[in-house]
Amino acid sequence: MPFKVGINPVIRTLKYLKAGRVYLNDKIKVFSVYLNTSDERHKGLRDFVTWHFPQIQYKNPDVHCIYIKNIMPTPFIRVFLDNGDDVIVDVDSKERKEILNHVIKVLGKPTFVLKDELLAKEKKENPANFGYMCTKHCICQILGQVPCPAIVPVPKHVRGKWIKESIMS
Amino acid sequence: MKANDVYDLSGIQQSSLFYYKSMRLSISDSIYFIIYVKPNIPIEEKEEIKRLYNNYRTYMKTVINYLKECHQSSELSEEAIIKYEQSKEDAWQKCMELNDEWNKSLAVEREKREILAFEKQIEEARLLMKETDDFKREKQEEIEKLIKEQKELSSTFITEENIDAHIEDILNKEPFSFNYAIDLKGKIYEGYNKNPSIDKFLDVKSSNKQVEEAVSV
Repeated sequence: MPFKVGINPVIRTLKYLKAGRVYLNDKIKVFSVYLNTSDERHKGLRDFVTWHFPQIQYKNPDVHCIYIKNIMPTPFIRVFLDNGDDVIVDVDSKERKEILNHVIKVLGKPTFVLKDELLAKEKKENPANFGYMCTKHCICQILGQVPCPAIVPVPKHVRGKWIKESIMS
Repeated sequence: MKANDVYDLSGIQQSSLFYYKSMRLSISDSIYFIIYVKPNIPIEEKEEIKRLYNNYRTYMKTVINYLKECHQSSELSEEAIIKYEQSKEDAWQKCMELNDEWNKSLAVEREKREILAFEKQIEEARLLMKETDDFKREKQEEIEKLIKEQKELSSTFITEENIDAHIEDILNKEPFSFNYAIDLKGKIYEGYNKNPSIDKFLDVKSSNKQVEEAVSV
């Protein structure tokens, strides 16, 4: 394991947390994991908790993530939804990667929703954008562009009135 | 800074504030007395301009309407939103079906594994039972053997009935002499006297006698 200093220094870095791939569905409100500390069948889930639990919590701040130890004989993930229902994912004697892929596939957001959200986020976050649904609704608010004439009047050689006058004279 | 003050900014002359006419003042004379001269355009040219403008207007209308429709269907219309939500729900249902299949397959595997483990446990228990049975039987056999031996020996035991006879026998027997030595080959070398302690005593007595005789003399 790539541990160098302290307890799990890699897992606690911001870079590692940002590298998580699990975006839970909007319906999910509680993400609970039941595992035992000493059993061969629980090894995969134990690894999953050590490696991916912080990432899940980081990527889904509105979801309550808990893990419960030594209560149930078999390892499983129980998810509570906003309407009170719950979904159980059995992970008996499965490996870490298998569990992760299944969680992304079943409990994660669908790909088209993720794409849309990413697009909206990009639209919102890009400072170069302006207009409807953006932080700046007009190009005049962007630094370096021609400001609104209400705030700073445009120069005379651009204004029609002065151009006309100059032509007439 | 006053109104219409001119200052230089990046090479272009700009005034900092714009001069506005106050609300109470009436319309200025320059605007009030303005006389717009109508342009004198010939009829043919006018008709041509009108035709072109009408064409332009219809084209623009169609384009704008088309863009409106596209926008409505793509994003903000209620139908589109409902459709989007429905597609989300369908995806969720599909995921749940996948999860159910996964859970079922895992349950089957677990049942198989548990049956195998149970059978293994039973076999182990049987082996253990067999081992304990063997151990118990061997122990019993050993005990029985011991009892048999003891029973056989019991005929030679000294009891209340035959104790007198035994005592008589022992008394009648000659005393056993331990006054002997054994070499490595097991050969016994007996002493001169059978009871050396008695001999010693006798020797002491004789020596005393000798001393007394000597003293008397």
